[in-house]
Amino acid sequence: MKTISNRLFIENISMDVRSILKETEVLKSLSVDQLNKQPSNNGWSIGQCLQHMNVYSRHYIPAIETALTRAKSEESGKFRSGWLGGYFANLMKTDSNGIVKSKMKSPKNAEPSVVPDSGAELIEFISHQHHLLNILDIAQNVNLGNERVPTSLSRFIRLKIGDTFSFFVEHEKRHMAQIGRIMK
Amino acid sequence: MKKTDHELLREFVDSLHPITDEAWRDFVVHWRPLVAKRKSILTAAGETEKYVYFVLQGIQRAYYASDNDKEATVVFTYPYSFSGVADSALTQLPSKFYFETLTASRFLRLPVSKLFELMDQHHCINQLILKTLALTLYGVLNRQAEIQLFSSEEKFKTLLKRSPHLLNLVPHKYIASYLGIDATNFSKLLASVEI
Repeated sequence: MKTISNRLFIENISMDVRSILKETEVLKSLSVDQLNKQPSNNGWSIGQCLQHMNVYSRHYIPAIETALTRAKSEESGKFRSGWLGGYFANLMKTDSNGIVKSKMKSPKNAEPSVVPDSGAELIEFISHQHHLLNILDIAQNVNLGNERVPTSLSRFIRLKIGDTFSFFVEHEKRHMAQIGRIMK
Repeated sequence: MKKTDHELLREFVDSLHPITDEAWRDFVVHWRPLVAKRKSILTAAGETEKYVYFVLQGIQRAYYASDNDKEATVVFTYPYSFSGVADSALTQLPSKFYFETLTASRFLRLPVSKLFELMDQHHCINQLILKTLALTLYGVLNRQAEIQLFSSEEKFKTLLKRSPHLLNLVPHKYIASYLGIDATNFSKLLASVEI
């Protein structure tokens, strides 16, 4: 696994989060009905995608923050992805056209409700992205490889802070691509 | 002889308001390099600008995104100038704009917190920022008058005169947005001006 400077690693992830934020701008103009509309393939609505991503944010953002408070400060740290973290992040990836590389069902505890409060979910989603940018900023000067973060899947599966960021953002990108397809 | 990044920064600063060698020594150490791919968002709307950027290579823009999927490009930046969302940097209020690279770009950037410290420590740096701000304000007011008074063709010619290289490097839809016209009208304008 390649080693990368913390700053570069964090900057790349931050740019992904900002792109996600930009993609939410158009969602702000949609009506609640449009957000809740079931797409033709019987997949999730935009609202359900947002709610699903929010469930992940509610777990991961505080969990990463906790790990950051325990992690050592480092001025010019370097990060090397762990094999498990790399595996998880890759699972989430979509190719350049936004098509998922491996289809999967979401875990039971992250299934969205039938009709979520989509307006509220969108506001919450945007707020989570800003929180994420804040903790990413903090993470630039912290060791990203030693402390671990429990995954939402199982608290016994713990990833390095750096890998948690990668996995988390790839997961969001996957669902944002899904939202993009619904919008077409 | 090719100039170093620091020499370029010094030259640029001197052209605005020269600073003492002592101030320069304190100033220069805090600028860190950054390379960004094309279409990277460096500051999102709602985020507070954390850096002052000095552009070494590439073209960037700041734009406002309205919720009906329309965008208003307010400024293009390119070498050698300061960049980033200036008002958010100085007020430390959340930015109203997105700041992104349009082509792969290279910068030196200074944390705003460090800038404020340096402004307190060195009077000449304080003066430098004041001068930069004054020139920016001059540009913004002129542009405001231009937007209200000039025809699309006049705005386009002014842009070409000021920044001729933009046409080849910036996707035309962003130039059209900057000029306040839609893409089809811009194509017509381009055709007529080139003739």
